[in-house]
Amino acid sequence: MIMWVDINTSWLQSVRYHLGYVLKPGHDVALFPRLVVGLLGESADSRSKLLDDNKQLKARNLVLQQRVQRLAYLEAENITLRELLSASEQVDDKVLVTSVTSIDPDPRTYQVLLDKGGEDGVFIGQPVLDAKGLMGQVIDVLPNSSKVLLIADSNHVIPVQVNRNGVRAIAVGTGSLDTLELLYVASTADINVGDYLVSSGLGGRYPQGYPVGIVSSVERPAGEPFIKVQARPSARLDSSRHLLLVFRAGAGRVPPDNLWRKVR
Amino acid sequence: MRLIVMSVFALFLAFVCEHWPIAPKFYWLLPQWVALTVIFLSLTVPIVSRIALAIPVGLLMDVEHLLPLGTHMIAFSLLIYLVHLLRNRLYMLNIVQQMMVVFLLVASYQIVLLLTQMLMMEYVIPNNIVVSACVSALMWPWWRVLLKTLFQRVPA
Repeated sequence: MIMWVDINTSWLQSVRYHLGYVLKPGHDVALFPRLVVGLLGESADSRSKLLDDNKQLKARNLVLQQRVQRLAYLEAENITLRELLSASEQVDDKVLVTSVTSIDPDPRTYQVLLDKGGEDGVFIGQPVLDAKGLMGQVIDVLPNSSKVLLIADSNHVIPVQVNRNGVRAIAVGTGSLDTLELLYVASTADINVGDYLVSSGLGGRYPQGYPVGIVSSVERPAGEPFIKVQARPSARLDSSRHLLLVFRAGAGRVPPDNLWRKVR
Repeated sequence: MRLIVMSVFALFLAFVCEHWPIAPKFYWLLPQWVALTVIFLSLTVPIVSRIALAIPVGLLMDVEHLLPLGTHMIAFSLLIYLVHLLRNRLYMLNIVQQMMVVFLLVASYQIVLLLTQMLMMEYVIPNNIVVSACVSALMWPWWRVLLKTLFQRVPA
C-alpha cells in the first residue's frame, strides 16, 4: 500500500525528504575519513589560505568554463538566427557549484551524491554539468544532499542534436561510462565520427546547447532503417569532483512527479 | 533501555558501512550490512528486534537506495520472521553452519526485495544475489563478533 502510494503520488515525498535528516549523521560519519585526510593536508595556516583562494578560483573557473561550453553551439546557432532575424535566447543560466561526496555503492546504477540539497534550492530534474559537459540530472533530493543519475546510466535518455547540422537523436546510456548510444538515427542522416553532440533541449528537462558527447563510431548496416551510432560523453563522468547545478530561468519543478520514478 | 540504545547504535554502524565510499571495481564486495545487523539483533535481542523494527529500518533503507517507500519493509519483515523461526536452532550451529544459514537468509531477503521491485516498478536491474549473499555470509563471523563485543563491553 505504502509502495503504491509512493510510486503513484507525491504524498510521501515529505516523509522521504525528512528521513534524509535521519540518514545525514551516518553519511557524515562515513565520509569522515576523507574529511580528516583533507584537513591534515591543509594544516598549515599560510597554506590553507592559499588553498582557500585556489578553491574560490577553481569555482570561478568552473562557472566561466560552463559559459565557454556553449560558445561552439552559439556560433552555429548565431548563423541560423541571423538568417531568421530572430532574437537570440538568454544563455546566462544561473549555476551553483557543488562537490561529489560519494558514488552510489549500488553496482547496477551510475549515480553520485552531491553535497547540496533541498535547503540549497536543488530540485528533482535539475541538470548537472561538469567543466566539460552534461553529467546528468538530479533524481532525488534530501535536505543536505542530492542524488544525480549520470547520462551513462542505462536508464538515462537525453535528446541531442549534432552541433554541425542540427540532426536530432536520442542518446541513451549503455551502462558503460565511456559510451552513449544514439537511437533512431535514420540511415540517410548526415552524421560522422567526430561530430559534436549537444543537448537539443527538446525534452524540456535539459537546457539547450550543452555538450553531451562526441560521435565515436558510426555503423551503417545494409537494409536497416536506422544506423548504429555511438558517442563518447564529453563530461568526465568517472573523475569530476566539482560540478555545477543549473538553474534555468523559468524552469520549474520540471515534469510530473511520477516521471522520474519510472526512470530508475 | 541500554539494549535499545545499543541496537540503535548497531544499526547506525550498519548504515555508515552501507554508505562507505568504495572504489567502483570493489562494489560487488559490499555485504548487506543492515541485513546482517538485523539478523544479529533478531538473534541477540529478540525483545528489540520484532517485526515492527522492519518499519523504520526499511524506510531508511528505501531512502538510502532510492526505492519506493515500503520495499525494504517487506524484505526485512520476512528476514526478522525467518530469524525468529530459526533462532533456537541457530544457537546450536557452529560458525560455518551459521554462515550457510546467513547466506540463505540474505539471499531470500534479496529475492523478496527483487520480487517486490519487479511487482511495483517498471524497470528493475537484478543485483548479483549469490555474490552479495556469499560476501555477507563471509562477513557474518566478523560482524557478529564486533557487535557482540560492543554489546558486552558497554556497561549497563
